[in-house]
Amino acid sequence: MSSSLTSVPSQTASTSNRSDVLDSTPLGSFYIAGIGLWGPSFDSLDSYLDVAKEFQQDADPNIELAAPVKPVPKLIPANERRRAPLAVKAAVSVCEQALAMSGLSSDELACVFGSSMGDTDLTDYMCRVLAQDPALLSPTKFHNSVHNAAAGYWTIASDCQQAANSVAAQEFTAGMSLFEAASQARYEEQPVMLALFDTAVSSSYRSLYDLADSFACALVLIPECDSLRELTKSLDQNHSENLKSILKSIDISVQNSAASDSRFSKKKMLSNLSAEILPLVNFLYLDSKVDNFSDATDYSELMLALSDQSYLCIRKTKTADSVYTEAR
Amino acid sequence: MKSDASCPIMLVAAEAVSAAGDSLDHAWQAIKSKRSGLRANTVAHCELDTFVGKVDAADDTPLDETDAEFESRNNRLIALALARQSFIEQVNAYRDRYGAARIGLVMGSSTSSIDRTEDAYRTQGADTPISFTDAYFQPKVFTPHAPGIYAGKRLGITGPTLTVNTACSSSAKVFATAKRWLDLNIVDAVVVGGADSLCLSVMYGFHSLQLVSKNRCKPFDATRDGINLGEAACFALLTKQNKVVAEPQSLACVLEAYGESSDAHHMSHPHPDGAGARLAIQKALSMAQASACDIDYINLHGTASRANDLIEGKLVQSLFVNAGSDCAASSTKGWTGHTLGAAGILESLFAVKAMEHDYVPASLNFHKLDPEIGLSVQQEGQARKLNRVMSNSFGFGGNNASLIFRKCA
Repeated sequence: MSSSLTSVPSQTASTSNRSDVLDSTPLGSFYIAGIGLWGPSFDSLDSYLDVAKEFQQDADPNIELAAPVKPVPKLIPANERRRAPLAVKAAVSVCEQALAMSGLSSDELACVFGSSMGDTDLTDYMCRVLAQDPALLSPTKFHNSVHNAAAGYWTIASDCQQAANSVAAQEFTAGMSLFEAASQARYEEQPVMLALFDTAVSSSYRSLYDLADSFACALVLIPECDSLRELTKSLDQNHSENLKSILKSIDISVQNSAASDSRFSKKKMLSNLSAEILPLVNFLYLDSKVDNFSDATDYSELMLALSDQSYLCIRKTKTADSVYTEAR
Repeated sequence: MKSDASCPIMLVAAEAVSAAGDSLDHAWQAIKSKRSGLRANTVAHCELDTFVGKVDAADDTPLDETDAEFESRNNRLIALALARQSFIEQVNAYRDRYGAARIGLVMGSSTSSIDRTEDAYRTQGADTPISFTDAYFQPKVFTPHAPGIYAGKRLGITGPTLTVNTACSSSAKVFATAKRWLDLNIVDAVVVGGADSLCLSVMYGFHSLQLVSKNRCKPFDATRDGINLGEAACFALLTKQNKVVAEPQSLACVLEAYGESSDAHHMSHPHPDGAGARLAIQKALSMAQASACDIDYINLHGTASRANDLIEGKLVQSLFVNAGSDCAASSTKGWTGHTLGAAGILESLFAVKAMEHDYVPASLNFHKLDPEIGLSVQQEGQARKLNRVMSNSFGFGGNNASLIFRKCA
């Protein structure tokens, strides 16, 4: 019998000089042009960064976090919102935050929704009804139970007819979803909305998965090509000023290595597999000097695991200022 | 960096288990002889009066003892699909040549292993707190990624591994992801797959939406009255033409193009004008640099629900028939039922077999075309030269995918 997945260490590491890299394939340059966050004690990038700094500076990792506020996605009409599951509302609300920052219109973006566990509260409801009186199964709950419910609600609410994906990769969900979004953005030369979200697993599941926190994050990913110039042309000056503090430029590559990487950080703020994207958020938006999520000294690149032997390698390429100046 | 789409992507090997047959070849024989896999419902603990495309071997073929931690009906189907050595030998040839980390895996599923979760609740009683202990201590099963985890373990793949869960388009979209990974040179080969199992969630779920027929499903027929559910597990191995290392199977062909889109309309009703589906088909044609007249056969989504077939039928009429294309079209769900997250790949493989044998499958249980649809759907199969085929898949959430395969040059 295998060990519980909850014992798997954090699947991120910041590292360099890897001697066991077999090959590295570039995915190219990308801009992060919007970010949304939701979780315990935060519901925006700014409030997350406050919490993260406190967490990092505190010697005691068990800092008290408040329960997440109720997400209220404005795009979903009130009557639909009442029926939408928490996971869907959380995912759509972070997408709204990220979209607003980017200044893009929702129908310009394809989307990739990654969730490791899906909606276990809904699974719990479904399985109880099915075990008792299956004829009572609610049709609305049934269609909400699909893993792509969040993708469906988002595309419906934002009137987006672009490709929408919904994926899962257990402990590799964060890295694989980012990889899927980046490869799609590169291949289609189109901006992609990446959403990662998991609500705390239902109490029934806690003996299997000790994933007690809720978390959602959205990133607007733009492949470096003419689209950025087009994007900035359409923005008014006020919007561009806001974007200036958000916009980041990164290079992404995929690396394979002969062996599993054991140099993974163990200090995690949240017990949530989608929150494995947080090292990327810290990498981009926190002063690296205060970051102690990782044990590596060189913080010029970040690794997110895709599998036991492949990794997404992310490098910061330019300062936001020069990206901004160049794009305009 | 630029992607390299100039070297074609080959589908070099495939396998499938479904109600139509315990292998892809047996299913193809069933299609040619019009032998349906649909039977009166015998899904355990399910009282519904309907027909199902059930793989009976999954009832009484537990996983090997060494795989006990993966036990679920869905994983049994995966094991049944991988029971034949020929597909595994093909995968091994690529793994040996390029290394396990340079092989990707993309599975599609809508139920993952929810059948096993239902078991856990039913055996313990729905009124009690559920405990996933003893035989149910299966952290690699009670998760949406379960098909990716188990298939990856069975095939020894350690490269990027993903499970796509977009309901009934899941295992069509796996081909799109695979094409991107291969053209971007992230991996040297990709195994794509789909697995979905008959379970109470889907039986009673579709029943609650009043979509399940008491009869055998009759795609595109004027008197169609709903769907039959089915189950299947299927795999295909894809690689760039210049990276082929083993003699491909006889069905080998080119994965030419994909189109993906969203309806942006409703969670469980298709867009009344098929707007999203139209976009997916147009995107696929555009990527293939093909016109409607270049498509010789379309394996339709054709669920036999009143809404899907009307909307899809009118759309294909408008995009193909009205554009002067005389492409053949049929739905093969009369053999297998709607296999949901496995349907995209299962029906793609049927379209590929059709191309291999230059034979257009009939539409089973079809007698009289819905008068609102102007399509040439046939009661009988027909021999016909097929150079390019399309497969359509549309799912909940308004999630659409269309694929194009063509014969090797």
